[in-house]
Amino acid sequence: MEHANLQILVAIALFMFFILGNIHAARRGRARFIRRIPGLNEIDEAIGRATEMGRPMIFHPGVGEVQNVGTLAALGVLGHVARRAAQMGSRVIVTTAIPVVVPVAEDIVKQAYAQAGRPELFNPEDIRFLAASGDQLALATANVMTQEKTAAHFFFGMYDYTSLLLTEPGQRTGAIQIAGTDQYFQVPFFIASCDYTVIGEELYAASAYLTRDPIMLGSLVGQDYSKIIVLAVILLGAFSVTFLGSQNPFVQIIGVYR
Amino acid sequence: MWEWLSKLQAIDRRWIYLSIWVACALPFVVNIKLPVYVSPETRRLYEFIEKCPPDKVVLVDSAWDAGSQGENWGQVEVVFEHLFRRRIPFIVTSVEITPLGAQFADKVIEKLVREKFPDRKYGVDWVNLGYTKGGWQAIQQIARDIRQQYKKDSRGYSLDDAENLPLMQRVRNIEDIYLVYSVTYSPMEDWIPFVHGVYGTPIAFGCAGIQSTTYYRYLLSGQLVGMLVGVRGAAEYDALLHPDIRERNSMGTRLIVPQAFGHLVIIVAVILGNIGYFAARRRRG
Amino acid sequence: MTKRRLIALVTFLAGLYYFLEFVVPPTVPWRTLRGEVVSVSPTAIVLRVDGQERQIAIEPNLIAYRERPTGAPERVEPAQLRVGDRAQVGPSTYLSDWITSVNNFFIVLGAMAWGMGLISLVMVHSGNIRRRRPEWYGSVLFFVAVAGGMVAGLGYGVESGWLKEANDVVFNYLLRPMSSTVFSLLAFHMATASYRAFRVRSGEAALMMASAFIVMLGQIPIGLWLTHGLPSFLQLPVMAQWILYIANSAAVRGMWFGMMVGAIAVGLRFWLSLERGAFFDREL
Repeated sequence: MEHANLQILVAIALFMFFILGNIHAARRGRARFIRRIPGLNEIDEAIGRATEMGRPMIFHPGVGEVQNVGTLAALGVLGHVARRAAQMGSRVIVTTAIPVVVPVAEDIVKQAYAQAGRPELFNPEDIRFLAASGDQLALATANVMTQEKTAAHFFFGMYDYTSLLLTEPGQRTGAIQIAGTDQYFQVPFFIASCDYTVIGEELYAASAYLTRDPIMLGSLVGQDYSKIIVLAVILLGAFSVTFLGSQNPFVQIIGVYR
Repeated sequence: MWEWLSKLQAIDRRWIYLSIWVACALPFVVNIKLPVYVSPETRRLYEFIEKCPPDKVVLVDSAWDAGSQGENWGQVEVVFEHLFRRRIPFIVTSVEITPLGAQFADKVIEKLVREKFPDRKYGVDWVNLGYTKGGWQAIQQIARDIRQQYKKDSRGYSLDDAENLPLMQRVRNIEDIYLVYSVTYSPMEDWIPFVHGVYGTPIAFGCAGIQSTTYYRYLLSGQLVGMLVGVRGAAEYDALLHPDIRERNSMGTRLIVPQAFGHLVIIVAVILGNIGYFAARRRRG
Repeated sequence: MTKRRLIALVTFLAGLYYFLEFVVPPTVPWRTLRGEVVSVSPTAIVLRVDGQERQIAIEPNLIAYRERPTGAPERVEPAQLRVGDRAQVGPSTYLSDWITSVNNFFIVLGAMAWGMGLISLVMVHSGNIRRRRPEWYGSVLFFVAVAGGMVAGLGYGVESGWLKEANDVVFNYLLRPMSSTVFSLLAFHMATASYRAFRVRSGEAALMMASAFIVMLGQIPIGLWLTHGLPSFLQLPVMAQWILYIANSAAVRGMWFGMMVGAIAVGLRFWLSLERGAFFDREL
């Protein structure tokens, strides 16, 4: 279990081939279609509304460590939110309980303001490490919502039971709330208390979708090819076990443990 | 009338808070016991422990603390009671999640020994190895050779101390373990690949109700032999242990009542909200 | 070298190590033997491979895997192999020997970030006090709490004395009950969130509400009481079980497969610095 066996090696090689191959194809200019994800479309709308009202926004990148895939995807979304906010001259407050996220988020937001030609709008105090645990962070973030009278809240990344502790107080402030998480069991809470929710792997596709960069879209297409492979293996496995018994050649090739 | 009914879609949230508070607090004042339906995942765990041969030992990974006490206390309480009753020795560990896990397990065991099983002895009927860090590596190490991960138990006795820990003298590695039962808010799935996958040892989980939705697939695939889901699982297990409802007094049986009332308040609130919604639509024509 | 390039290079090298550690077999494939153990001595192992007996000298770089009855390999010390075991033995590829040190290096690096977290907190709270923002006295309390918490932290693992008591007070009697309190707030938030959100605005919403009702009632004794007279497939707990076992598991599995493949794609994009919108980005 600690190392890849031959089957896993083949699967990884295939997935990498599809993803990198499609990125390469996209670089050469092949157009890619991507379906609409309403939650992500509304991000710009929410930033615009906050700007019109002259109020700041909150971006909460979840409670996962920085190496967590959900957190990485959330930082991609933060890049987009910060860029748009900078272009419109609006303020983004980032709150986190993960110390490593502080310098990373600071870099992203600072760069976004600098690129928009508004470096003076960036305030390092807006990247806030508010507590060392998720539940305390939720209470502290709810405080920021009322003190700063924020008008848009973005919750992206990995979430635990604290999700509702953030979104319910946020809902009461009347702000637009958009959430996205890869944690399946927190999705119902977000759906109940946010205006838009991005579910599961849509979060991983978020930065590709928002930037519309052909390279990123190529990676999404590669992902879809990889999913087709997974589906084919599942179907073949199910059929072979149903019709040929549990020790058929296909099962032996795939190499499942008993 | 439509106008009055339409107000139901905007009940002040404080009324809902108050109703939830009353619904959850009332059963602590008035003593009520409710019959329960026993779900298959609970029954499978109960039956699996019933079949445990006399020379085997159960490993209970009790990695929870005050945060999820409401759900996890009852889940370990009923299983400990079952093991004590059948005199199946058990080892308690607390891997990774919270350093307080072992202390909480001790509290549950102390209560059971005091109230129901005064002749059960530490070191013979159970051993608490305490907290260890290390995530899946620790799990792997426990399976391979428990002494590599734990040199001493939570009371400071060496695992090789035959006088104080006779039970540990017949436990070397996962071969001696009949079942691993991991209880916490969200049990580590690493038990499945690293213990069940490699050694075939059966695994069971006790988890918070909200987390259970992700674990049902392991019950279907046979990678989990059973699961206690939230307060409900604990109450169901208690019902299997004590067919006579008057004899049930575990944490699960007590807490299923406020949970039932809380659910009812939410259901009533949702129904009222919808009546208000339809009335408002009707009024607008 | 620009900052962006440096980050990309370090990310690639660190990722490469973990990638190779996972995909490169732990033993050199062409020098690895697989077979049944015939004998084990402190200096050598004899394996029966394809009917032939082969002797392998036990050297410090030798790695042995025992094949479990399930077919899965389990790493053991060469001397722990027993006669009759099916085993795989070969010289190490060394990559895995470094894994603990590399992991520790990243843990230390992560711990350094705590200092940055504290600096961020100090900046926010000292700013509050300096500018006399509303509720600035809360920020004064913050500094008191940090000082108190640091002193109490010294009592961790201490057997007795006032430091241990301070530790108990802060962590066991203050922090723990407070986090239980925060957790219990969920019950209230959940009630208002579902009251507001569950409106039958469409067919899908009606379906969602119906399944929520079935599962909620099925989880509690009242569901059984309400429907105990009906045929078993119409009883609420049985219907709730069907939703949880069949409908829910199908959805969870589907989502997991998608997410895991998505995670590989995100991982690859970050590893190779192809991610746009991230911190080593150029403007698009």
